Amino acid sequence: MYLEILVTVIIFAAAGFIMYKNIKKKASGKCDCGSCSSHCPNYKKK
Amino acid sequence: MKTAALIGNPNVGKTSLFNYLTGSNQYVGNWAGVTVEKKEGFLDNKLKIVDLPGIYAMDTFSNEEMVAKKFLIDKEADFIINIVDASNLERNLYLTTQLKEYNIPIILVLNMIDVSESKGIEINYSLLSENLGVSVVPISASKIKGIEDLKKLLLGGIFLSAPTDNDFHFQNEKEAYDFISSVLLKCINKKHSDKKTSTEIIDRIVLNKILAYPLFFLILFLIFKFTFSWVGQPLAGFLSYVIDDGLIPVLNNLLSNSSPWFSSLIINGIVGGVGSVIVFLPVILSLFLGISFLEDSGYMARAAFIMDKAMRKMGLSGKAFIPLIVGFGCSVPAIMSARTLESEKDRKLTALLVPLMSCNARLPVYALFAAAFFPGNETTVVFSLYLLGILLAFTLGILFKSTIFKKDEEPFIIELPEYKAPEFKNLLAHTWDKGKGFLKKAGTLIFSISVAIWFLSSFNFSGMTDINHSILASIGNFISPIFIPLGFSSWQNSVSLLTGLMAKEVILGSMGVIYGGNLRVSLLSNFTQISAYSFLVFVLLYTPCVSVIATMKKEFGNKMAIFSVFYQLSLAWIVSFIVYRLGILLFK
Repeated sequence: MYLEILVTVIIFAAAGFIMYKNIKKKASGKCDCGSCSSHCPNYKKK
Repeated sequence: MKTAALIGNPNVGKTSLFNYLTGSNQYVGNWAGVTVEKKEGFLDNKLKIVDLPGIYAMDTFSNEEMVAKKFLIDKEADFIINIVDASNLERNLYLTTQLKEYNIPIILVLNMIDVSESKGIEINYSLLSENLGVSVVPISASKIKGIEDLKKLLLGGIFLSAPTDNDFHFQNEKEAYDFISSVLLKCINKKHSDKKTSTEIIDRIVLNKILAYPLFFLILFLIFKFTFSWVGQPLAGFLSYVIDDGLIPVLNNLLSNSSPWFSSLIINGIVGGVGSVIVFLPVILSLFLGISFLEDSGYMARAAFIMDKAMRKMGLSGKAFIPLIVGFGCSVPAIMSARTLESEKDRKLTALLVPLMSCNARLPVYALFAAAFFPGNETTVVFSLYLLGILLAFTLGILFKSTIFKKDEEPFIIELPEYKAPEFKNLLAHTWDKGKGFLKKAGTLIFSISVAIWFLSSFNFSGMTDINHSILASIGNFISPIFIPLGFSSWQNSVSLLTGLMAKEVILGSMGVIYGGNLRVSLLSNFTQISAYSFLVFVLLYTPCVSVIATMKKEFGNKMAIFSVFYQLSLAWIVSFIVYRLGILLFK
């Protein structure tokens, strides 16, 4: 039971952290497609 | 350690040469504008090579030119490797004459000598070297010919002692081109031949007024066939079988003594959510293998050229085609690439039309629904969705252009590269690049949302509960009436669409958690063929994701971002409604 709680806490912490980072990234207009080549204007210096 | 700047016109093989010299694995494409940032590599740990973006001249001010110019002005390079297309020296040497002004030793690498030879062009290399005051090395990067000679020269460093003072200070373009013509007259012997090159022969068919469009759609259809019928979808089916009938029973067995909530979190939450998306990796890989093939072969530039004519007829600027093509990958970079358009109205119009080009995040949703509801016709169904997006973009383009975005037309110039047989290694690298992005997304965003969805679907404010009384069900029930006229009004579908605002793949992740078990089977009892297609149309047209809204805000301000969200939601609702009602009228 303790192990289950520990694993659950780790999963939720990881999920929360990833979601926070993603929302922050998305809110700044950065895409997370991760599948673009260097055609992507994200590579260009503004 | 000496530093060399690798510089040349767009699409002359800079990145291919860079990869051969440094052992790097940078993406190489057969169309202009692939390299837009500088990249560094090392030759035998003795020489640093910097791959600069492809540019035509040093006297204009695009981002690419500024990167290259700054590098040379800051004296970061000890010498320049100027790569040129040997079959098109007149245009390529203009940059060379400008590079000479920097008084840095230059090695002139004549690439594609195989192509120039096939065009009957004979070049006197030593005379060219003498006239330009540079070292000349002929190579064929695609055939790995001459690379070893170039490496020896680079590592030997003899060219560094060559005199750099020169008379290459031309007053204007005409003077420079006159000089280039006089040099080429002495150094080049062109055999006049009526024999057409393979590129000319292929272009006579591919760019033929009558054949161009049918061929374009046939090529697209074949790529979809490859993705949804021949390779991608069957492999996705196999992966799904491995997860449903292999992994889940094993996990069930392993977790048989665990608490029910814990086993539900692992199996329904994580495996159900992430697994239902990840099985579509082969679909993504297959589609992008096809697209990489088109890019590397040189066809993609022709596609832009072909579609330019159609777009002008429909009232869109030809230049806007590039952002629209990028939109098939992801709307965010596509909206950003609309910056290249000169008129603000054009930029805004393009940004509003880009999300209608179906981005790759929607692909797994199409793939699952098409396989579940239209077995045997998957290709046609997915192809029809892409066409619907294009058709709506054209229609709305005309509508917007004649109402809120009245403007003048801009010219569209695109270089048509030689056709090349795509390099297998390059195709695989490019395809894997897409697959890696998809896997990363599944392991991060989709994982985290699946966990959140599991929590919201397993609890309410009183504690753990049945899914129909969960917080998620309450949210779903609140928004589901909107979808009643569209035929898919269950709270499960409504809430999945809501989570899709984070990213479109998340729709499947959410459905995987909510419906549980074999998603394909669960969907069959929650949709009809007509409501499934109506759902796919809604997924195609509604607001792509939060990133796109943020990009619209960043590029065009709050008003435009809010307008785009409402316009996309309204468009999605109206078109889905029409599709559903027409479907009922025609097929029931």
